[in-house]
Amino acid sequence: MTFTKVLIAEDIDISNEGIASKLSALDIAQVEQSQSCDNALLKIKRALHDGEPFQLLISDLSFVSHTPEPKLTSGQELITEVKRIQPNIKTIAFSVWNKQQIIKELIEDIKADAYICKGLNGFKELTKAINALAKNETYICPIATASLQRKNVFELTEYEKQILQLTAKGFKQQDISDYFKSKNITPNSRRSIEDHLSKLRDNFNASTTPQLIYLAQSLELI
Amino acid sequence: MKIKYLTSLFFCVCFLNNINKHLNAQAKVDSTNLYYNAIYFPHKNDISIYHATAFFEKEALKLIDKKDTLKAIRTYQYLISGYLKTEKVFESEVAAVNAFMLLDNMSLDSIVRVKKTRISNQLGRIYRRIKDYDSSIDYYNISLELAEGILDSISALNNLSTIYIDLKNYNKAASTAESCYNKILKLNNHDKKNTVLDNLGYAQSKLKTPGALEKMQLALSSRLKVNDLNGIFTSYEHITNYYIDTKNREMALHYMNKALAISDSMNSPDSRYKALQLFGTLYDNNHVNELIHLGDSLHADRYSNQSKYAAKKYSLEKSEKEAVQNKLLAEERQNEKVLAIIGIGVMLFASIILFFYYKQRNKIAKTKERHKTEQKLSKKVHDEVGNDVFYLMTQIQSSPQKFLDKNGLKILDGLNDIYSKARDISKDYTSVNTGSVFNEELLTLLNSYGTTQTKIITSKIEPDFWQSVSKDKKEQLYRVLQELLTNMKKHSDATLVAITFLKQNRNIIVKYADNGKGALKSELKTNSGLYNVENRIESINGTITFDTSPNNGFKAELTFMA
Repeated sequence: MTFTKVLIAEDIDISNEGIASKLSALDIAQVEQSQSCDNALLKIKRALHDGEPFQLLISDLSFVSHTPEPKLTSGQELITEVKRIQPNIKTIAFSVWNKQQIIKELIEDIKADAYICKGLNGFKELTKAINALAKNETYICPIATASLQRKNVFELTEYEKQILQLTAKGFKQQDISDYFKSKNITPNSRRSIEDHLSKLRDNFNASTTPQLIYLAQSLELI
Repeated sequence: MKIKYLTSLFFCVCFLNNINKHLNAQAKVDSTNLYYNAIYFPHKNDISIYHATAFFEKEALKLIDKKDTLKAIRTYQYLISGYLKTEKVFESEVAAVNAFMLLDNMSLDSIVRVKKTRISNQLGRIYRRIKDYDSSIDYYNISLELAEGILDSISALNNLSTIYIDLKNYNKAASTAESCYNKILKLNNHDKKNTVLDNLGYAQSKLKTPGALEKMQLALSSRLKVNDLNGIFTSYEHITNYYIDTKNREMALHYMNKALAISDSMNSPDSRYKALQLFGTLYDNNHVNELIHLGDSLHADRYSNQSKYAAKKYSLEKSEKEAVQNKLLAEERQNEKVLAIIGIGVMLFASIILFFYYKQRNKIAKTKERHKTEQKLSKKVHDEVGNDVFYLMTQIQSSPQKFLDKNGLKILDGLNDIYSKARDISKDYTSVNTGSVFNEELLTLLNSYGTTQTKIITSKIEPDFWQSVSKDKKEQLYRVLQELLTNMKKHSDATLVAITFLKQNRNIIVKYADNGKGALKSELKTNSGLYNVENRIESINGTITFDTSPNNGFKAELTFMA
């Protein structure tokens, strides 16, 4: 499908206009804009009532309120409410936030169809997202994906710590495997110990096991 | 010869000396003892009982002046006995009442309890003497209730059995005497044993219980052995009555004569009177009986006219005292109430003032904090965003052509840098979720500072690791790590950062280590970020240590209570 009727909810004019011009470049016939969540919801209800519903909502997450007592104050609330009254509408969260929890909540709980981080490649990613959504797929931009997967942080488990400590003591992989077997620690095959050491080397950016041990020791991890 | 003389003289001197000492010691014997003996052992003493009571009367007043209450009470006890023995029942009662009033002013400890026990018993005897049997029974019962020692309860029980005999309530007399006798059997050779046995026998004889006479005779023979004149007389009297009841005139006359004879030698008008009563009964002479009857009533009148006065006075004083005490108590309660109300009022007032004071202080602190944050924020916007924008502008101005190459990609790059900075600033000032997802929040923080070139390594921790840590401490820790990581990103060029969390007892230990280029320790002091770190850790009563040197990375260890 192609989108013919899209609503943009974004409180900052320039950004709003930016998205709109990008969308018109995609040959989307009808693009409307709202500067508040309440107004966006009203438009969606109206369109639904008129029998010409929006097919896509692109929403920012944080809004500066222009009315005294807004009912909806965030993109999360807006998308939740819109999904409730019009379940078949596609939604894209478009935000500066790259916090894992925010992204996680939107994708997993609110069931937004796409998450795009604003930035240098923001509009490029937005196009990708619209294309993916047109094919009934979901889309998460690379920055959000990195945040979601937390690729930059590595959680060292007790098990891995033990492998490092034993290696530092001079244990060979087979020795570690035997030791783990005697202590009933699993997994304890030579193969899995090799795998873990390889994973550790990757995460420590170490090219050899001795370098890995050196790094772990200098960081006082073992 | 001369030596012998001197020696004898020496011995003589020694002897005299000894006698002197002896005399001194005797002079020191308290006159109290002499008068005491005069009252309790009148037959063995030369001093008359009247002298003794006169002495103790003065003594009591002196002791009261000296406020030696316990000794004064003891003196009153001597007086009670002394007066009773000389038939001064009224004076005896007054002494007892005086003693009681002194005791009422003391707190009821064991000594006061014993004294009350004994004086109640004495009062019982006084009222028995004036035939006020109800009062007598009351006081014996009080004594029995107060009695803690077995001797005191025996005494009270024995007296009760006697009075029940007087009242011809032989059932009660027998049961009381029996329980008393059972108590006495536990003791050896108690001098009351015969009295109780006699009473028991006499009460049982009236109830026609078998073995009653044998008990009275057993008591009599024991009394004869110790020559207890009073006891012997009572035994004769009781046995005479027994024979009168059983209509054995011969035996009754036999014992009546014995009673008459012994009363003659006793020099006790009371006993003599009782013996003559028996005589009157046995010879059934109208005139004699009339005389006895008249004597009885006169006897009773005499006592009843003078009695009650002291007791009334005592009970009046007691009730007055109680009224005063109640009034005092009521006033005290009233005062307490007023005090309580004032106290509550003051507390309320103080808490209101404190409430507003703290509210105000809080407000000031918050305002200060806000100002500080605002200043920091504006400085950051100026230094990081403003400067970069200015830098970009000047560069475009100096060589616009260069920046417009490749569709203005360079300008875009520059702008993106500024954009990221602006986003980071906003990130620094958003609130931290210190709830159950705190660990996620921390990982997100660490992740956001990591890049493909800089890996952040952390120890995997238990899901409930942060549960016992307060919100404030979590927030401060978050900001501290943020500060350390910002520092790392700005200065260190580190490729690896390790941040580990550890719980030791109740302490949380957080270790930071990177493999960056490190710094001179002297450089740390000028770093405002690290200064903030120290402040934050201090605010949660924690400690932090830094360890770094050029080319050896940067380490920090912070500890605080969970």
